[in-house]
Order: sequence, then C-alpha cells, then structure tokens
Amino acid sequence: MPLSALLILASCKEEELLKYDQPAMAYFYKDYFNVTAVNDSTVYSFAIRPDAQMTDTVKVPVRIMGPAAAVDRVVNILVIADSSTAVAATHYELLPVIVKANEFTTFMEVVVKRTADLKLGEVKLWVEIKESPDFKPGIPATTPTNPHAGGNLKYKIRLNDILTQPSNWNVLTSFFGVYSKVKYLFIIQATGLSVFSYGFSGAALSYADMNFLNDQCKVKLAQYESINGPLLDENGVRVTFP
Amino acid sequence: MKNILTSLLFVVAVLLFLGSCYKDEGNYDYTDINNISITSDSNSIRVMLPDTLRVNTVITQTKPGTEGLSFQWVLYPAIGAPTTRRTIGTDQNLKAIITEEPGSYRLDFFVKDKQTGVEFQKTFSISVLTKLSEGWVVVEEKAGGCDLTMITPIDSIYRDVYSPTNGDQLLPLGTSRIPDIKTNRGIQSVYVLSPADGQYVSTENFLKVRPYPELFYQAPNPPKPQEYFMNTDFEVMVDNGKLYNRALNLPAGNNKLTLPPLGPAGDYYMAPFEMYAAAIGYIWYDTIGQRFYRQSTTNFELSAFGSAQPTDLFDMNNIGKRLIYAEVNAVGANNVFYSFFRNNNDDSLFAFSFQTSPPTGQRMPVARYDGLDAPGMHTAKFFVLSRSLPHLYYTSGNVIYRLDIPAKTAAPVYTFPAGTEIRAMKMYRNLKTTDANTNKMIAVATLEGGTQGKVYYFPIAATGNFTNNTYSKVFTGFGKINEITFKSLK
Repeated sequence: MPLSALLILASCKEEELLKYDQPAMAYFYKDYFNVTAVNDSTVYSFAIRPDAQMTDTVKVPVRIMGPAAAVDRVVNILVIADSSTAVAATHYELLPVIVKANEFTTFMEVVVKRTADLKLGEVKLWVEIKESPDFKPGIPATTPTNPHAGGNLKYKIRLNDILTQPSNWNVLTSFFGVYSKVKYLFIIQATGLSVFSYGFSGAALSYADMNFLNDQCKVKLAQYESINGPLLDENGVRVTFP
Repeated sequence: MKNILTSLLFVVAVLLFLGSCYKDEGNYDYTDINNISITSDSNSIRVMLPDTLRVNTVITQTKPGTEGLSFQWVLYPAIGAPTTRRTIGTDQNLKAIITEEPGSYRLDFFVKDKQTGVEFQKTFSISVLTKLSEGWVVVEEKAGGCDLTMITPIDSIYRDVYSPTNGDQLLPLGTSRIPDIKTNRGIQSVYVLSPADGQYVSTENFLKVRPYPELFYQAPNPPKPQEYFMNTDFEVMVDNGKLYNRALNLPAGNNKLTLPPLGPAGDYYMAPFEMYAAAIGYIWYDTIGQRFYRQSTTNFELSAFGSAQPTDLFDMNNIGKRLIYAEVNAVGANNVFYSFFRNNNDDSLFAFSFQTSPPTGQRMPVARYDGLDAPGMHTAKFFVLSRSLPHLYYTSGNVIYRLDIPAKTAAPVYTFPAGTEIRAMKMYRNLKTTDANTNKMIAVATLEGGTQGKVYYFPIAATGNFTNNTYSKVFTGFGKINEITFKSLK
C-alpha cells in the first residue's frame, strides 16, 4: 500500500519544459519541398543570362540551431581548397555571412563573375561551415524527409557559361521532353524563361502555365521549321515537344 | 457434482430442442392500417425570392385514427449529399420563408398517423429563384450599346439588368452572342461576346468579372470572339476560327485559355459549331481544308480521322463542301451528329450524319442525303436540330422551316407577319434534368415593324411540328434583340 501511494504521488511531479541547451550552430538548409534546394549543390550558368550580364549573386539558405541572439553573429564559411577549381576574386567572391540580431536564418551570398574560360568548362566552388566564435557546425548531412527539412555543412556551386540542364528537368519532361542543350536554348528563346519554378509546393508556375509554355514552344518550333526545316540538337536528334 | 451438472445441461438442451416443435396457433389480431394519400396542385414549384414558399395539400385517409396526424416539411439541396436538411414547416399546408441560396432543392412532406406511427411521404421539386438566376437572357440593342433583359420561368420580365451593376456601362454595340451557359465544378460560366470584345460576367448579377484579354495567356489580337463551349472539363473559345482551350481538371493554380493547336495540314479556320463526344473529344470542320478534324481533350491537339474505306458514304478527312451548320442529334455512348453543307457552286444542299463510336461492323459515316429541297437554307442564319427526330429547324425571312432530313424536304412550320425579321432562335435546354420541356420548345426573337422586339415560345409536338401550329407565349416590349440564351438554375 505505501509503495502504490508513492507511485501515484510520483506521477504528480511537474515536468520541466525541454530547452535547447546545446551551443549555437549553423547549417545549410535543405527544403524538402523545393527541389532546386534539395541537393547539396547548385548550378549557375551565365549562358542563360543576357550577354551584358557579367556578375550575379548566388544565394544559399543558412539556418541556425538554438535561440536567436540580441546581436548580429557571424557564420564562418570557408572554401574547401582541394576540392574547388574556381579561383577566388576571378570567378567568385564570398561575402561575409551574418545572422542578424533576433533572426534564425540568413543566406550565404556568393558573387559569381563571368569570365572567358567559363565558356570552355565548368569550375566548382566547394564551401564548408566551420566553427566561429558565434556558431559551431550544425547538421552534418541529412536528407529531407516529408515534412521535415534537411541540412548539410558543405555546399557546391558549379559555375559555367555553358547551357546546363535545369536541376528540376525530371518534372519538366512531360512539357519539354528529353533534354538537350539545343532544345533548352530554344525553350529559353521561345518562352523568355530559363528557370521553371514548377513541381514543388509554392512553385510559381502552375500545370496550366506549363501547358502554355509547351504550346509556345510548339508554335515557335513550327514557325522555325517552316523556314529552316527540322531543328537538330547536339546529338543529331530532331527537336520536338510532347 | 460434475455428473449432476452434465445431466442438467442435457435436460435443458432436450427441452430447447423440443420447444422448436411447438405449433404456432396463429391467434393474432390483424387490423388494416390507415392508408394516407397526399395530393397537391403541382410537384414542381418555383419560388422567386423574397416570396414565401407556399404548398397546399389535400390528404385522404382510409381509416382515420383518433389521435390525428402530424406533419413535417424538410427542405434540402437536390444536388449532392443532403447534408443541410432544414425543417421549414409542421402544418398540413406550407407557408415558409426561404433563406436558402438560389438553386434546386427537394422538399419532403412527411405525414404520420399518430395512433399507429405509420408515416407517408411525398417529395416536391423546388426551384429557388432570383430575378436573374434562371430564364431567357435577352440581348437588346440600345443607343450606344447593348443591355440584358431576363424573362423568368414565371414569365416576369426584368429589363436592363446589365448596366446597373456595371456602372451604367452598356455592352458593346453589336453584342450578339451569349454561348450556352454551363455549370462545372459548382461554377456557372457566363460569357458575353461582341464582335471585337468579350467578357466573363458573374452568374449572380452579370457584373463584368474578367475582360476578354484576361481570359487568355496570350489574347487573340485583334479579338474576334465567335463561340465558347464547355463540355465536362474542357473549354474552348473559338476566336476568328482558332481554338483557345483550357482544361478545368488540373491541379490548383493559374489557369487560362492556352494557345490554339497547330493545324496538322497548315492553317485552319474552324466553323464555330459545337460537336463534342466524350469518347473522342471535340470535332471541328475546317472551312479552309473543307474537312473534319478531331481534337484531343488530353493535349488539345488536332488530328485527322482514320482513313476512309471505299464503301464509306463520305470521307471525314475530305468533304469538299461548305458547312452551313452542324449539331449533335442523339446524345449517349455513341453520339450521332448531323452536318449540313452546300456545294462550292452553291447550287445543292447536303446532310451528312456520322457517329462517334460506331458499333462493331459499322463505320463512322451513317447516312448522307444529297439534294435537299430546303427553301432559303443556303442563306439561313439560325438553326436548331431536334434531339429526338431527324429534323432541322431553320429560319429564312419571316418563316421558320422544318427540314425532314431523311425525306430531304423542308416545309414552313410557322410564318410571322410580312416584314418580320427573325433575330434569334434557340432550343430550350434546361440543365435541370427533371425539366420536362427540355428540347421540346423553341424560343424565337423577332423584330416587327422595324422597332418592336418580341420573344415567342413554340412548343414542339411529337410529330416535330409546333403544337397547334403556333406559339404558346409571346413577350413584347423589347427593342432590337440580338440574342437570346437560356440560363439554367445553377
């Protein structure tokens, strides 16, 4: 009897709220719903930008673990020299990464520069989050699993001036078909778009929008073929659209 | 102890077994129930808001009980699951204020014999209307533009209902097309088409909701709207012979009419006549190639029909004639269409019929009738095809003709006074499936004496002639009418 009374009374103990008692950490954020950010890398191509555009800024989302702070804090991001082929100051400039006071997110901003050699081949920039006085490295490498996001400490930016396949082409095939560089360039000219925000929650383009882009391509291709004959891609295959 | 228990269980089992042999002497006291019959003036009632709904009933009983009857009137939507049932009365005769939205409803009347508890029921169809919710929409030409007038199912007329809700703006001059008004996914689409403009208006009050260019990803330039069709989830706007399509069964998001499909054999100009069959999609007649095409509802692409056989009555891919009119005649799993042609010399008339899902052993062409004897059909402007007989109604001058297609002969079925101009003609088609008059009444708009607009109702007899060879109703007081279109209750 005394034992059971003690057990009952023990159940009345107030449990304290869990609190984050780890050091502040930072990591590259991988949104499950954003297919372009699911991977640990991104491709930036000047080939789909106007000829006059010589620089741009690539933004990669960064999040922190732990509470926000009342002051600005610095995330230490370093280039992994032995894995990178991009040359600092020539191909890119890595800007300081600051988590502003009272905020949980920020961006790693990399200024990319258009150089002649990018037309000949791709360069890679590997970066990694290292320890700083404000943040330790956070989530090392996790794959997003619906509905949870994932994270990583390393990130790769591939930089070129050559047409490169959009990372979400797998969801564009029903509108554009099999990828080829010639086809992609034609699509850019026909639609005026080079990035197709489609196939994930919050995407800017609807299914009907994509149907319209498909129609635009078909109409423009018919016009092209009526003047020039079939358009052949880099593999000698005739460009068509579904 | 165990033996005693076993013996007792055995005795109980034997008694239960023998009990089943007991003979039922059947000494019951049967009595006839009180059979109640309920009658009323009509089973289909329209109530125009804000009027009250009134239903008077007559009740007869075969064996009235001593405790009397109880009554209950329950109103609920006719379409979909009746999740919103509302008791609106508990007396024998109903007089109830209706707070429901305009629409189709069912009204169940329950009569219970309080002595026996036996209940009887009668169901009524109720149409809750506003002045704009159902009826013929009439486009009238005014000085400087056009306005709309409604003729309701209870024959009330509400004039000039467009301009007050649109800042006193009129529709463009020459507005002459309100395509069939359909309801899909709970949305009733009302388009008003003018010679060089168009608009989508609210079904509730005709407020202009979207101007013509906003209906498209890339609007036709210049705009020349001709027709709009909606079948299941597939919309088509016909503009200057081109087909601007939209599917409604897509994931949520921006959705507008997309670009016209490419012509399989170059440029095309489709005649704006509705031919649709669920099995194959839309069918169009290209007036340039003088041939039919089919249009997929999957990707809206146009394609040719299968090659003709030597025994076919005609080749869908090579007609070589000028289309006058086309419409479906029989709707079902195998739709049958009639198309009417004149030859390129303009000295002969033809009717071709085809089916979209030929039974085994049959071909798509069903029949052809060359050399129709149909006065004025060459230049006729208005056509209506029967849905029950192989008859085509058309107008020429002040005369309505009926063409008996197999007999290849047309004859007048009604002649208006000399000088009457026929301005529009439509078949009455109410989307309410319970409406008995659907496809059995033709409405005609006229201009008489140069200024007097009228709308006539012509009920169709089983023979195809007009009942008693005349109209049943006429509505007057209109000006120059450009168009009439029936708007069903949403």
